[in-house]
Amino acid sequence: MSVIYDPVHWTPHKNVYDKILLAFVGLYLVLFGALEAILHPQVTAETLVIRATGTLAFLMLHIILCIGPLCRLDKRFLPLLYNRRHLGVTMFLIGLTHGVFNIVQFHTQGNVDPLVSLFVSNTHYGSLVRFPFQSLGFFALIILFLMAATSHDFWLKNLTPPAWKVLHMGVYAAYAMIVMHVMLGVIQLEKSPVLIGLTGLGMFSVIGLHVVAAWKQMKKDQAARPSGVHCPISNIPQGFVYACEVADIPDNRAKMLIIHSENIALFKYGNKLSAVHNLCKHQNGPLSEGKIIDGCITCPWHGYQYRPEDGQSPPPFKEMVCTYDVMVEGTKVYVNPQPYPEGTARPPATIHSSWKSLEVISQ
Amino acid sequence: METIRFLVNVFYLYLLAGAVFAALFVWRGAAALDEAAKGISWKTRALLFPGSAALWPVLLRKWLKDGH
Repeated sequence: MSVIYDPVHWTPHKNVYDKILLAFVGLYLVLFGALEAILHPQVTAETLVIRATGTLAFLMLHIILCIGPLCRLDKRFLPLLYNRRHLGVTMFLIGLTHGVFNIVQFHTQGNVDPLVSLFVSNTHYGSLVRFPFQSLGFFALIILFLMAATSHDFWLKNLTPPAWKVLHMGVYAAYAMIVMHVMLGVIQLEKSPVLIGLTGLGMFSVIGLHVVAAWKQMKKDQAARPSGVHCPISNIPQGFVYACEVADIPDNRAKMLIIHSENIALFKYGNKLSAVHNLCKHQNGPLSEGKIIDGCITCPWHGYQYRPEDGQSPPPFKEMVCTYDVMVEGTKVYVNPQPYPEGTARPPATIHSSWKSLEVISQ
Repeated sequence: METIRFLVNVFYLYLLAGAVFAALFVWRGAAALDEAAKGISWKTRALLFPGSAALWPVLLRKWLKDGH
């Protein structure tokens, strides 16, 4: 959320995170090297680099893929999500080292172009077991490169968030190709049941966590659907839907609502209630899980801010989200799910002090 | 073999064109598309270079259409 783009928006947390990340990478490489020296003392330095970087990048990709669902299951994992970008770029650089060393070691000795050699050294493209696994690794690396190269906020804004999201969902295609790359590599070269078992365990973890997180999200979405339909009470205008009781929303926090497919964050602050679209413009973070800080809705993921009454980021920032009409009748809150254009000012609904007092007494 | 050699050469040409375009884009194009990219540091320009080289057809179209 900078006025001018920085190369990296450093924070104290990011510094600590990066130090831990680099320590992990260094420790893994040292331990892997030591273990290989004991178990396979005959391997060359190039092979050692290929194996160490390949396994490390694969492990890091699993961690990256597990972070999203873990955060949906337990908010304590959120700090990993805030810094996942650096983990992703580091993983790509390690994967790139693996790829470059492979090409240098196996495809630069002859008189054929190294990339041509990569694709023609094994031509069993019709075979499942003997399929040229190196080509799969190459295409996966291209996807990971595109993701790493477009990880800066400039790309998110200028490619547009939906296009950026689609591009970055390519990680699943890359993961599928890398799993095949590893499995075929193990089958064709290593024949190690331990490596096949570890790859299977990794896949099981990634798929299992995604299924559990999706199930939990589905339950959450169901809970966010108000039970009432269009309000039959005569003094509630047409289009408004019963959302919840005033007391259901903690102060300076929000309740997530899904009404007629609209994903809405209904915020309570002071004696006011405002509703905005639930997805942050930055990376689709859930605004309803954020809180009001300095009078602004603050996204829990990267701290992007919006004014609750008009959905606009405070100047000089320019991000905007849709707004909705809210009204309060007694202790009941009603929301009209018809969105206003992004950044449209809507008057907040006021909680009458008598009801506010009743709420305090009831708590 | 010949088909693969041809495709690899196309890939190299794409990268070469991308590198030339990216140099121009991080120098002028990024700022023409995005106010927040005006006056960015050389480090930020270097960070934008690989993506600009890879996505040059998309950016060229956008630069011609929306650039100011």
